[in-house]
Amino acid sequence: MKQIKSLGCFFAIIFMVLFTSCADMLMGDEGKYDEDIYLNYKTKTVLELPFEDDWYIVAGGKSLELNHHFMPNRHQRYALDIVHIINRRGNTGDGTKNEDYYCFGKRLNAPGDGKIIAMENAIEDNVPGIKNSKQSLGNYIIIDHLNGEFSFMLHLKKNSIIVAVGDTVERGQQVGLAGNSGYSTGPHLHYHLQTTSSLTTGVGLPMQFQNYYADDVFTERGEPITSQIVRKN
Amino acid sequence: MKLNRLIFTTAILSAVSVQAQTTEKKNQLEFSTGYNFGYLKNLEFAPVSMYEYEGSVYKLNYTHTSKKENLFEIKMDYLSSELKTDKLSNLNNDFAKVGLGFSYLKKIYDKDRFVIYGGLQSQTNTSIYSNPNTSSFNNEDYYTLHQEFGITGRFRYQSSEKQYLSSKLTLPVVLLRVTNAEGKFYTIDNYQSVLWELEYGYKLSNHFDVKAVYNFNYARLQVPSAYRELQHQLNLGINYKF
Repeated sequence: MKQIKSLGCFFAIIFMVLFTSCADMLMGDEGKYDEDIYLNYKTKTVLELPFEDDWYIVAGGKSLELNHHFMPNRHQRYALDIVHIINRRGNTGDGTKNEDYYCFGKRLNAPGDGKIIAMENAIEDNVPGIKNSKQSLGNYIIIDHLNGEFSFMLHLKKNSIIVAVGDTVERGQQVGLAGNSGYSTGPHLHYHLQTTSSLTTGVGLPMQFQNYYADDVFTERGEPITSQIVRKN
Repeated sequence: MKLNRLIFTTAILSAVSVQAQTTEKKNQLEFSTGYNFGYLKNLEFAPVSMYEYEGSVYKLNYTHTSKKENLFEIKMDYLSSELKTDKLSNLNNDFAKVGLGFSYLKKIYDKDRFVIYGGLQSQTNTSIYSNPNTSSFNNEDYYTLHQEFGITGRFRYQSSEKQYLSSKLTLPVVLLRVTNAEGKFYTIDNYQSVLWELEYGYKLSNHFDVKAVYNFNYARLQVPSAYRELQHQLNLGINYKF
């Protein structure tokens, strides 16, 4: 009986030691790439803000506290939601019509050089406050920057996109107008950068824009965050 | 920290000495409490390769033994902790998990002091990741709901009138996973999991037993937003038989 006791204890302890020490193996390496991106990623594409005048960062940044995009979609972890403002206001009137919002119909530019690889231009704009869950991207453009970075510009105004799939675009070139299509409750631009053109396999990338003003402070290279007012020049 | 865990583990397991017990009552209600050592990766939630979380775990179990000595088990558990990572400490987050399991085990082998059961198990786990610092604009907590169905087996060794050793192994084969992002079924191609329990019981009286239990839970979901979870749990419980 003593032998059985000792054996039982011995094997139980061995199991515990093994299981504790093999945590790293069982948990695997997936996610180390995401950690490295979070801590060290430098945007390869020369990016500039894709609009003129003052815009307000509704959501942006690298934490749950700052940015509602941070989860649960890995591909848009660092995405920005941005609205055009005038005198610190986003709209006139009662805000029940898209036209009440300064953002609606505002010119949008390519943030960097690249090639248009996908787009949609025929989705109706929403009534403010009502989302289109079935076509969540709305009218959109995907730009392949030909360096492993892909820009996504979402929720554009119906029939406003003036580039086509296969076109080459240059930084600052007009591509469409801001709108309120797709999974959007009000006119705004959703912009994010990711590693592939796929919403399934793409991993979101931090976006460092060059030469812009954030709350009137010139920023040579930076990542806009929630509640900043930004402009290109 | 690892040394402390090892000492704690050794102390618990050293108490295990193998003698025998027979259970005559048909129903058992057990309350146990213990400590959880957990590891979590959920790339849908955060860009963290491995969170660690530790904390108390509470369990309430009910077991009914039928006339043919088959077992029907209901298990509930709750743990509350904080997900921690040293590398990205600003992404630490509160974490709570509630589990509910049902299993039916048919006696398939009974000889001398050994009994073996085989059967099916349903396990539901809900995890809530809440961050008290999120702004009012971003006030949605992230959650996951895992509903698993699997096969299970239990063996029991009654070594003396007062003591027994029991072990249960469950292999989930189907998972329904619902998160803020999506709801989807996964089978064993993408989802591999094992739940293992090692239990030592000591009979105090005709109505009460005490138990020491070790649980090893592991789950791996092979999707682009990888999910993996590993738990070691050590519990002490009291068992009321009626």
